[in-house]
Amino acid sequence: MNNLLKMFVFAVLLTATAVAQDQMSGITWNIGLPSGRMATYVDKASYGGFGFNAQKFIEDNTSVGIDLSWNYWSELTGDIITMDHGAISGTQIRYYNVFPMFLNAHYYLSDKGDEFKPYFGLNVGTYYVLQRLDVGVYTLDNDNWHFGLAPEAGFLYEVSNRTYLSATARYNYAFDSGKTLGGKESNTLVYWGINVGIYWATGWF
Amino acid sequence: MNYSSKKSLRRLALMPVVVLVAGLVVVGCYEDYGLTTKDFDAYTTVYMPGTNFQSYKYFLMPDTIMHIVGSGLTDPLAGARKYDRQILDLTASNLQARGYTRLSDTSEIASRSIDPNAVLAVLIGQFANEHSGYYYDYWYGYWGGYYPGWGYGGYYPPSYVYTYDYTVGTNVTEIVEYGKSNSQHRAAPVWVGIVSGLTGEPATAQNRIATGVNRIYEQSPYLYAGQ
Repeated sequence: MNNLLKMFVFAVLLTATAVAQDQMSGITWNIGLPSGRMATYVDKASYGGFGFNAQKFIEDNTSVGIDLSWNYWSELTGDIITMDHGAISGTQIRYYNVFPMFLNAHYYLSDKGDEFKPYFGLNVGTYYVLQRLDVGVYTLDNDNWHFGLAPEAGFLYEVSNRTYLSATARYNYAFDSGKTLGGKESNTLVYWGINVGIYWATGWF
Repeated sequence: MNYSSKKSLRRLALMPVVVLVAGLVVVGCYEDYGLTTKDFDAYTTVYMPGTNFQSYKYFLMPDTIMHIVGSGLTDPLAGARKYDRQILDLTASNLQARGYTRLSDTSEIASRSIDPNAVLAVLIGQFANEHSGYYYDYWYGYWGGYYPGWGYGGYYPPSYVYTYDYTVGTNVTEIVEYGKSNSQHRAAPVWVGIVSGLTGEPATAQNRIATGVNRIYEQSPYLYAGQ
């Protein structure tokens, strides 16, 4: 909760500086699709996520910016968890709270006047990951900071003066860091993100 | 600055509010799965690495369950004694279904010239842990807990302090090597199965115990005699 509040405060401060020419910012609804090892822990899509993004154009077709977001997974399961020398089972609630914090750059494949503006980009930064398992009356949890990359492709579509709908597909890759909940060696986290939202622009478009 | 730019700036200035509201909505979306007492049951199994469970063919099991209680204290699981027969029978039937033959007592080892190293001893014990404490729901207290007319008194404890008190009963089944334990004069465990759950719901206890005892064997597919 404290992390979330810090993020909001940061978003407020950021927006205060974003009110200028050649800048745009927006909010997104973030869907997360776990992949790889992460999908063995939570295998369903997450529809509980949101993000904040601000961009500043440094050239006609290139922007740099910041992206703060949150993806949340919660899953009820009765699966058996196999350990090195045994197993544990029972009703479980498995959680992931993932907070990506990125600097990014986008390249736009359109002209200034186009309504439809496809782009691709790269996000670089950190993922703060909270993993938790409730089983029986017991709770196991841990938290780790990961360095991460998230290439993405998407588009903006102008729906009214300086207001855009956005959609982007993002491949999130959080590099190995710390320990998993089960103490296994690799703690790489991979998931796909589909983010849809609305952006407001000043100046450039 | 023209009208259009002012409008855009106002929209931008509103953005943190939108983000904040969206965030709060999401924070409130932690699923309530409506868990019941049985959902707090947990089943844990551990085996000694390198154990060849197929090298054992027999098992011994005392016809009682030991309750582990601190000296001078009342047994919180005394009321659960009525389930002992069920637990012992289910334990024996699970091991027999996996090919192990039950011996009536240790004298049968000598009378039938059975190798003690082919015998397992099954020991079952129970204990309870009481958990109590409190927590303070500061989030509710801060965002939603102010009642007009109450002044700041509405924030003071114990307005948002909640207490909890529950007891967890645990049934531990320990399987030890009979021959090795005898020769080294201490238990040589090869497998432990633990069933734990909340006490205080007699209506479901019998089914939950049966489920738990069966589950610890189901999740131990390596535990069989190979006959």
